[in-house]
Amino acid sequence: MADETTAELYSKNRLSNPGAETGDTTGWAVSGVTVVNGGVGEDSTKCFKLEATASMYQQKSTPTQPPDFKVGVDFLPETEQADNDTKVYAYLKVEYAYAGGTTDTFVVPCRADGILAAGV
Amino acid sequence: MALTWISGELNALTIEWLHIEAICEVNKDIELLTVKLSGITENLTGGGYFDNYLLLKNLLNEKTTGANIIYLPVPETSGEIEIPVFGSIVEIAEIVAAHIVPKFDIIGSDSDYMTLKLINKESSEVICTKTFLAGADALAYEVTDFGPANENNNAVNYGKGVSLVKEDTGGGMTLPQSVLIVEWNLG
Repeated sequence: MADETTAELYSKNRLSNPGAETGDTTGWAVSGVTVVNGGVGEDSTKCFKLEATASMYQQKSTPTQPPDFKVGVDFLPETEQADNDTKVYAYLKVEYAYAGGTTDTFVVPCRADGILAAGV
Repeated sequence: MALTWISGELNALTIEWLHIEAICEVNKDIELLTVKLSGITENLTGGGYFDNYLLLKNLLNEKTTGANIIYLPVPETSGEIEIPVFGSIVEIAEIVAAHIVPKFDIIGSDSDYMTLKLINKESSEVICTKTFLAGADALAYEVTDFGPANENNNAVNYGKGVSLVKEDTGGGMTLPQSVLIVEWNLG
């Protein structure tokens, strides 16, 4: 997937070990995360398994300032979420820290029924 | 936000993963220091699987001329040397090729020869190299390629440098006055 989304406008992936390539959680700060067999893509043999309540993150410095970052992930819930359950139980969080101590935070829900909502 | 189904495997079972993408704008009026990307679950029954995290930087502000080329005069040199030839002023610069244009013919030899290398000074690894053994000549005022850049070592991080190294074997040889050409792209 990374190659498809790496248009000329965007850099290569800034994350290390983004798909558990090392077979462990190297590069990530984790809580409640293990590495298991499986994954997306021909070369992927591992992926991260997050417990019911868990988190993992990487923080990167950026010496030059871009207009934006494109973020993403492939997600698979252990159990299917009921159609009438509108809560978000899994998400990506992007946090920008600026000089002077201000921050911006983005939350990107990981919801299977978002596909229906988006009409895809 | 983009959402698509994609096929994958988990524990040998073919299943459908959800691919999620979003673009998060940066406040251009304040200096950005760090970016933190998290994957989070909260009371997700049975937990969930995450793969192929992405954090791609928009290079719009850094794309100026596309492929970049530098031309560096190198003085005539006998004996071994190491001189700085490149420094990265972007987040990641990838050296993709190097060439040399000598003032006089360099005629290869199997006994007394030299090896030219571009060295990534952050990792001390060789980016690309040219050894002047018999049959490997560089003619005057013509472009001679170094070997292909090693894709594992060619990324030069912001603020880091690259050197040109001349190593002699046997009696070595003289490097004539030359121009070193380095091609690089944004990584």
